[in-house]
Amino acid sequence: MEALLLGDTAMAEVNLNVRDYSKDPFGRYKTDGEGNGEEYRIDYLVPELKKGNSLIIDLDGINDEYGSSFLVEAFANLIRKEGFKYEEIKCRVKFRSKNTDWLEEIDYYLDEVKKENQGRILLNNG
Amino acid sequence: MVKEFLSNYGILVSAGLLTIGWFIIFNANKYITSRNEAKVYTKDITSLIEDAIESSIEFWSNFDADKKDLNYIFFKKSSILISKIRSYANILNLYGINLNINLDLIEFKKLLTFSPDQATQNFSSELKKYKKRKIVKSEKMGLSLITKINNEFIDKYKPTKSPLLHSFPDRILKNPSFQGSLYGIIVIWVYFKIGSILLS
Repeated sequence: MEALLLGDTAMAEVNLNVRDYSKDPFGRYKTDGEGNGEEYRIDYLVPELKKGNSLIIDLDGINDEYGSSFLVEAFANLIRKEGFKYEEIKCRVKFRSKNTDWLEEIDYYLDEVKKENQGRILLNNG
Repeated sequence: MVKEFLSNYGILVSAGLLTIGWFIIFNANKYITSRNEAKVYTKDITSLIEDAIESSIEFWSNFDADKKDLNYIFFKKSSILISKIRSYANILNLYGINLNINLDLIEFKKLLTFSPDQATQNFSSELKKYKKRKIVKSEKMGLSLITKINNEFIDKYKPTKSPLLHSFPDRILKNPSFQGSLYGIIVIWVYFKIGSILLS
């Protein structure tokens, strides 16, 4: 963990490996069983982000592929359900993987939430 | 002077022409082989997408959130299938068929492997609508991917759609097979011409 002092706030960079949570990440909700996205978001990501830390998430080392359910629930729903802003997540959460398709997929889901929010703002203003 | 030149260097001229002819025919063969190989990959990728559509229709028609093992198997199988389609698309890129379907594949994967939220799962009418939407959208997306891939293939390797004389000279002249055949004829003609000059 690397720490950086900005004013009075100590911001740390925390490395997380999805493989340490589960080698077989799957499903959206806790009811879907072990390795689900909801649990990873609530128990692993949110506490660190609420402490003001930045995250570097290593996606490699799992058994096979990520399903959309896990990726959306764990990462994109940081914006939808936890109230973080798109820009904040882009700035504070970095993803690392040898598989660029996974990185592109997560970006796609984050952009999707951004578009949803922009659409909502337009609707409210209209 | 021509006779003297040909009697001294005729064999070299013939050999030179034969080498160039061989190169043109070799090049045309390479083109045809590439086309055939790319066609096999296009066929394979098409059949993978068709499988994905078929299993999506079957799975989402009978979707039940409580059948966890079945759902796990389908979601994993579909994710691996998409990854396989992606690697085939990368191979087709090597054949000059630039598919550029990454975002389409992410969307397709989401249609196949994204489960409904809990509110939808709890209301049977909403779940019915959700399942219908999944089936229709995944089929539409899959078919549009197949069309896109096949169009890109045809764009790169143009089909011969009209008789030889109809498309002459625009397409035929640029066709490597035609160039090879024409060059072969010229080489044979020159070879016999040199022979007849030397013998006379």
